Amino acid sequence: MSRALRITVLLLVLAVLAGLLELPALRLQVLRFERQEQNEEEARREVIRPGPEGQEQPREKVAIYWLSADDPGQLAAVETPLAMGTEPVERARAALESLITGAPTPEQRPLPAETTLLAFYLLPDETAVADFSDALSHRLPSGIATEQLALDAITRTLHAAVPQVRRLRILIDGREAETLAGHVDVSGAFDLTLMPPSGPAAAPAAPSKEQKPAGKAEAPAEPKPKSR
Amino acid sequence: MVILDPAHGGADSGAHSEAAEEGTVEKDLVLSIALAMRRELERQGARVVLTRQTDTDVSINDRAAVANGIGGGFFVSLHVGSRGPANTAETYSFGTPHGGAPAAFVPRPVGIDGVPWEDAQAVYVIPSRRFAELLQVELAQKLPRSPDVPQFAAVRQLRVVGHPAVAIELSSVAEENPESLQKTAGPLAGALLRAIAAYRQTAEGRP
Repeated sequence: MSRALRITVLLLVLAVLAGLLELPALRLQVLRFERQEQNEEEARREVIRPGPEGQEQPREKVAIYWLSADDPGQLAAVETPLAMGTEPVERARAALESLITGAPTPEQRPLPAETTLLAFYLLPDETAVADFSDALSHRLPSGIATEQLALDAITRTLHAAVPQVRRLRILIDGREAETLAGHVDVSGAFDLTLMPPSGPAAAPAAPSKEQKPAGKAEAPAEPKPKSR
Repeated sequence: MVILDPAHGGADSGAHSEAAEEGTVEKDLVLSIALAMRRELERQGARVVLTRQTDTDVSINDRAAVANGIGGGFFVSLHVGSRGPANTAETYSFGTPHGGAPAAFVPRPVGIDGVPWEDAQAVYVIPSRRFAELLQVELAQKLPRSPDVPQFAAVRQLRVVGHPAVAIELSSVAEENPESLQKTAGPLAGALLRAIAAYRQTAEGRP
């Protein structure tokens, strides 16, 4: 065996040995990454969960709008003791998290239990933006009634917990969606200022036009004559 | 003119029963009901346009284009929901949810070219509500256990329609025997004609 060949073989053996030594560390790293991926959803929940229920976070009773136990076609407010905090964003998150996960029975959930509130923020003009995971869209039973109930549950619960929020925009997985699950329109902002403090709605109101930016087209032209 | 809109179609199945594989899907049910309704309506002398006649996914705006190109009529979007009492029908008109959360819907701004497509329904909210009320009264008689009054909902399809427009949601895909739902086509057509006649009467009676 020539000298060059011997050196090459030696180098190769050294490289294999080094690789063998490195292998357990690599394996650990791969496992760690896998675990991280699995826990991403849970981690999101952890991050957005309201703070620990310490002594400085007294519980207060808040109205959460779940489906009525007697009539699943209606919402019913349940005064629920929650650690709410004082900040509007903190309060909104606590109430919406409870709406998703805290229903007394699974049948009373207006939103899918798999839904995650990914983000919630408040703009300076008191418009709130609630970003839900796409489970809200894909796991919700499709239908006008079911989607409208889910939307009502969100707006009413938010309004009860944080009355100062004037408008709500709903995002699905960070994006504006046309409908919640195929039927009900969620592409605009919902005006929460017209909601009465409690009880059923009074007179029906037409969709509001107030929030249109200046310079945009107003109402459509006059109705066409109704004749055959 | 009656514009019947069998919702969903193609890749968009709509609501489906738990056993999704061989179970009932909304898109098939509403199409067969709409086709049966058309036969019945035409038999009684009404003119009918369908927004889709096959299992195809027609966009919300394309459906509205079919409707809005017609110079006068009543738009009826047909749906089958995921839940609810069997063989009942609930009518919705576009607007503020009533009895539930009264959050008013604020339309998204439209383009500066001024085409008010997105808000075509805005001037029809009151006529649509009146049509919905008349229709729901008829439906409550023909399909017992249906409610007496219609609901408001921000139904995306209705928003872009420039006619008195309603959505009817039948209950439901959870039904074990979908044939019973298909049999509602006749009563639905009858209720629709009576509601349209009543609507015209009250409309003509007004100044």
